[in-house]
Amino acid sequence: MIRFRPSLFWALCAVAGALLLAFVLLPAASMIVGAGAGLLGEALRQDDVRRSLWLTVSAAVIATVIGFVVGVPLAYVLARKEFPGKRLVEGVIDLPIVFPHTAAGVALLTVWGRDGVVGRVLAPLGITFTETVAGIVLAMLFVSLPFLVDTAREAFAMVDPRYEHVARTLGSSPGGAFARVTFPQAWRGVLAGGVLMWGRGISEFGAVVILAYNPKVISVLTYERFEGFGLRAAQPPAVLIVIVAFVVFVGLRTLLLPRRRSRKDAA
Amino acid sequence: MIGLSGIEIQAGGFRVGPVDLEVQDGEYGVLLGPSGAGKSLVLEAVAGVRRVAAGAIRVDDEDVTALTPEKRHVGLVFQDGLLFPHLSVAGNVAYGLRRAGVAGRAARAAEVERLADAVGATALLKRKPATLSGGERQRVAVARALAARPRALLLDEPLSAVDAEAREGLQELLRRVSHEQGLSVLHVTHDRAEASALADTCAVLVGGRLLQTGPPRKILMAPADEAVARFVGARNVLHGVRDASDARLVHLPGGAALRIAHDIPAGPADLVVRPEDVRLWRARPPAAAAGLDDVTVLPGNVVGLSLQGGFVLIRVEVPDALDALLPARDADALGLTLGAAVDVGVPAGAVHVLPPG
Repeated sequence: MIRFRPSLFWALCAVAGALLLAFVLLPAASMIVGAGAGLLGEALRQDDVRRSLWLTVSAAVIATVIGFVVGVPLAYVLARKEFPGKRLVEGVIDLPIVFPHTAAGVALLTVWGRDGVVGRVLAPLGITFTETVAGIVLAMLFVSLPFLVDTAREAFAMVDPRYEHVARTLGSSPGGAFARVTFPQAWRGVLAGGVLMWGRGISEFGAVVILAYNPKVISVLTYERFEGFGLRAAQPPAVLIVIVAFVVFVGLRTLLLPRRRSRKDAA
Repeated sequence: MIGLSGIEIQAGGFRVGPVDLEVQDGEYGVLLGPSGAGKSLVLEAVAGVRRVAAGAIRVDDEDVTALTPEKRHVGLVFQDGLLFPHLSVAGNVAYGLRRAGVAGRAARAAEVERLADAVGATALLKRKPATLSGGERQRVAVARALAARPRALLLDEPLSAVDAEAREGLQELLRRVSHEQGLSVLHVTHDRAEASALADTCAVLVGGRLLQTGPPRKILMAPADEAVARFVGARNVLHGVRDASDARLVHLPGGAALRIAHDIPAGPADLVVRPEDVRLWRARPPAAAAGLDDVTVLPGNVVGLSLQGGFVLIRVEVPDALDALLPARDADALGLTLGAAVDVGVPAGAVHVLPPG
């Protein structure tokens, strides 16, 4: 019979963790190393790669900003209020996570395409979503919003509602209590949700390629180059976006998000 | 003034009320009850952060039942202070000054200093709440509540998380604030000693029901029913039957009989005797010499001894179980041990007869 000693347990955890890290890091590292500095430099000098990189990053930022505007209030309501159908609402918010992404693109097209339910109303006004940056933002928003809403909801739920009760008795309106007491305590979690949303947005392919093949975001450009010219041609744009995403993620986590406090620190 | 009229609160499947209670200006009211009795729900209702299912709440003769918390002008202090962690102590205290109409940075700074001085927290102003002790947090929380010029102060177990040494200082502070500022205070606690030390008026809430209101001494000496009696520490609740012919004699199930101070109707009688009123001797004292004319003396045996602070709780079988609470010195002098034979004295005037029903 195997008896698990504490040291064996932690060793097993470390081995499992190392395997997982290797599983994630190896493809990225292999791709970056394989591309080489020369190829990366050349890619950066290519107009279409630079344009695509800028488009991807900026569209994801726009989607994230929109997500903050519409998603943070919803996250706060979900954290604080009980109402009939709340579980259904939460399920609907998470639906894009389980949508196959090309299916998401098709679904978006039925609403926002030129002949879609909403698209046909907006098209005469000159507002279209197919083959436009607006469509890219829309697709990114759709697939990545759950990451912001879920994370922000948890961040708000971690703030004791009694803080707001005290703030209200001190003269704050509900919005004032949110702005002066709740959000200052939850902002790191909300920002973490925003970073996740942005990261999910820049990596989106399926929904974007259906709704707005052009202009090409980096994932679409990578796919097009792979299909047309093979792995070597696809590596530079892929590597560039991985590096950008890694730098942003690690940078934001290091600078803005606190490290988890240990029990020793808390004592 | 805080006035509750027929207040009923529904929280999930738990119902509180109806609660009727009045705390006058400058009066210190305590809502006393065990954990889970619904005391905090009542406080939340007065603060306006919880809806009432029925009834009316008045603050200074204004019906505030339908008003939002920020319009009620009541201060709220929680058990752990609940200081805003992202603000310094000064920032916490200053939070409500805008509503109080204190305009200008200099004026607000001066007011923060004054309030901090009033609660003994001047040295803490630049610190963050996480660095404060429990007692310090509560002082700052009181200053923060007072900054908004409340008409009444609501305190939810404010001393529970504070050590004994700091508790006395805080009790004195709370009483002083109430009397000096003429504020009505509604203080929620499960601590009987705290209620006795602070309350001008007390209300006992058990299982969501308001069982008794009045001065704490009256509740202590004349509890309204068994639940109140047990909660306020009257450990001896005896269920007997009045003697057929003697209207001041009650027979207990174990065979003993207790004399009471006034006539009661025939039938069942529930008696309450506080343990500190029960006397003990090692030998039956001469009745005349010891002034025991109106004291029931019963022989018994010690079946339990436990030290409680500077007192000893002694359980005696007479054969009904009776608890006595003696100063430790007196218990030592008696040389009590488990199984020791003792005589138990219960003064008739110390026996409270619970109302029927």
